[in-house]
Amino acid sequence: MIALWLALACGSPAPQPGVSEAPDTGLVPLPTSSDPDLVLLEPARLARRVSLDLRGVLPEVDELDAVAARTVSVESLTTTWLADPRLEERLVMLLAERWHTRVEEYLVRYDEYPQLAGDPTWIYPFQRAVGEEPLRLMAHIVVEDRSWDEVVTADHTMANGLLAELWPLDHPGGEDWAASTYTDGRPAAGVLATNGLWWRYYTTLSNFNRGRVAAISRLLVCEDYAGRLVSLTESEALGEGDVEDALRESPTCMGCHSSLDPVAAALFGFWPANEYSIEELQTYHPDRESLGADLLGVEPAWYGDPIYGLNELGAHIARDPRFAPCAVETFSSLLWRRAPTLADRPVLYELESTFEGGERRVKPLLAAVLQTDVYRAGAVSSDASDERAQNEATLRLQSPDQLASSVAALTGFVWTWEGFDQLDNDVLGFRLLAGGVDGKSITRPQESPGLTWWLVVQRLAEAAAEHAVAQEGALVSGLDLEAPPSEADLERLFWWLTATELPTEHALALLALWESVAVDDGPTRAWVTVLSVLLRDPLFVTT
Amino acid sequence: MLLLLILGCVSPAAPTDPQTSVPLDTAEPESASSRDDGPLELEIPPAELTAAEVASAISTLGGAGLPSPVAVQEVYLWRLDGRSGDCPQGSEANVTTPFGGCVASDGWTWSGIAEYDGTPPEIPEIPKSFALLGDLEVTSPEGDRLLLAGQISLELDADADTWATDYAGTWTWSLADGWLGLPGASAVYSAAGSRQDGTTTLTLDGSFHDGSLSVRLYEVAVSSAACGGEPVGRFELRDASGYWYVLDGQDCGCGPVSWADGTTLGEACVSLAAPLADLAQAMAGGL
Repeated sequence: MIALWLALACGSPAPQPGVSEAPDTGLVPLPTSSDPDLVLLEPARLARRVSLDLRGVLPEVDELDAVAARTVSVESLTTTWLADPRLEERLVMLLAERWHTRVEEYLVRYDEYPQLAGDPTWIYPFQRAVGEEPLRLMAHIVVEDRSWDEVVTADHTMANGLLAELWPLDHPGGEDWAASTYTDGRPAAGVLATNGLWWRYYTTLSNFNRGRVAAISRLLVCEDYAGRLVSLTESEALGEGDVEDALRESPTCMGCHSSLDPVAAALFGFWPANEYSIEELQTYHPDRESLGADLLGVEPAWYGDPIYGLNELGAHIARDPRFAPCAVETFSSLLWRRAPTLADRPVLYELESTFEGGERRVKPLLAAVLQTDVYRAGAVSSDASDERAQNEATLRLQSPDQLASSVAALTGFVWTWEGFDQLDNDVLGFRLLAGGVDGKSITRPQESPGLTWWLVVQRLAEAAAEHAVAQEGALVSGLDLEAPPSEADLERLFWWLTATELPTEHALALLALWESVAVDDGPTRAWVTVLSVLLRDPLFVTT
Repeated sequence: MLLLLILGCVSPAAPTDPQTSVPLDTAEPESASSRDDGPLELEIPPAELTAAEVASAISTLGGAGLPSPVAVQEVYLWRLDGRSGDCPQGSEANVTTPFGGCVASDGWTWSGIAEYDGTPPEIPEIPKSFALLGDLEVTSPEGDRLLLAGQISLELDADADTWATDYAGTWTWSLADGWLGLPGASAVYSAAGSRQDGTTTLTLDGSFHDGSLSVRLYEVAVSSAACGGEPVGRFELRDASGYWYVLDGQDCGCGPVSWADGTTLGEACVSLAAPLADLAQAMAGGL
């Protein structure tokens, strides 16, 4: 009664940014923003975004109902979803957007392995297995609630049956991904000891692992050598002398190479004598570890901190004061769908405290990121600056993997052709066209709709709707497919798919569409058409 | 009740600047990860081998001989003689195949490429200068495997009676004796030598993995006229932990053995005279 009275007395329940609701309503408080530039999503829509980001599927209707009725909080659902087994797969996809290892071209092709040659259906599984090895190790560490430090110190990797057949790995058997151990003497160094990482970030004989160091520096401590200023004039003048001498002696070069080369010296176990040879690339060469110091003229070190070799590198990286902030920045930017700015620093510091307080476990960090205003924002206020409005990703396209998994859960439709997942490859599929990241030519997810994106979404929606009706997928459960949709049917479908109430005029339009198709093609085709429209609704394909 | 209404309808607080809502110093806020513990000192496990065991292990490296470019040249050219028809393709002593390989009429499977630079020797046991780049696997119908992965070069100077070689990669032939026959063996080294007035000399620097042991020979020199042919130099043996033993054999292959943590384990001697002499002899045979 008090709650009702308060609600009536106070007029509109819509919260204002920075305003907290009275705590004794008995209902879950509405989320509030401390950032006046940001307007938060409605709880159901927020729950939908969280579910897609953590599990790749939509919430169930009863979950949306409960959140909308404010009897269940998004935070409590988040806690449940963080324990969902689908989190691991989602993390693989999320981390791929930053680590860029799921490429479609390595220096070794599938058909250079005699056991795979002649069977092109191995192309896709081979490429994905290689590229996902480091990603799955990271994801596994997260879902097992272990410290993020293990990403660079773990004494094992993750491998599936294919990798176990090809590489020197001790795998428990079967085809599934499982914790596995290399048998070629490589030290415990987490992802730094995975073939998958170094096949993506390969080195040439003369590059001496330097490019690899630039990659791990960017990925693990957010130190991007490529972002440093280089004096091209002075660099060109060095061309007449010995390049290796210049790298050690010229101030122009030393700005980067004084820190970069000592790390490269620790990676010589992965230095191949022929960068195209399977045998040289897939095997760690423990005897070559000490060659780095000779070839590069420097002893191994991590940013001035002497290290013995790869066996100590991971521990020093984990100890680097940039390591934890970089992890925070990584997961924040992946979930915010934008790069952090200077204005985000206070939030990032708080997230970092959460991360450190949780012994660097990522799940508490994820939960905290999901509660930030930037993540929960559904719009930018009219008072916000143009710069702010352009920077915030308040409406996000579902990534190709989110589209694939959410549509599959709803309809049972999995889009494959010749063994290739059509939303997850570029050679024979549409990953890039659908806004995805290939890790080489495209390194950031597409932020706004485009023509090719729309064509892919349209075809996906059509095929998925067809499949759902023919195979009685979850989406059509409880529907009478011989009869026109009731208003309740349409409201429920729209609510499930978008976490948004169906406007009356929209409902009428859908019903009219159903009837116009049914006249000529019958009720089944009419349902396929309506579902197809719903599955390409802007509110469905975005979060 | 009135109080409830007042509390419930309290005016919205003025929107706050998110940046001012968090205490900020003009200085960079201290990161939660900032640590002032000094350099990280990792505990190195204690040594598991004695000095004698280290020397013994290093000495076993040459048990099957050391990797020789001459042996690689010999087996490559022997197999090249067996090619037939369009498999593999390639002119002279070069080889190329389609991805996925090809099967020759004699049943051997070829996969990859090899580029041979030099004139093949008329007598296989007497080498000539050459360079070979390999990314090639050749498999017999019975499953025997020749693997060429890396780069090798041998430069012979008959006028000066000297030679030099660079050997890098994994070169194996499953039916071979010696180093080539060791599964998983690979090496990266540079060596040079001479044969003058009946004395053979050799300098060598590089790393060797015989499939189980990993050994580094650092600035090693050997003369047939000194130390009974035993080498002088530094010899390193890798432990499974990734740390290394060092035998500083400046006294005809004898010297102190130390562990990665600086501990001296005693003195010992390596015994590599025979394999090093064989290696030098194989190369000098082409002079």
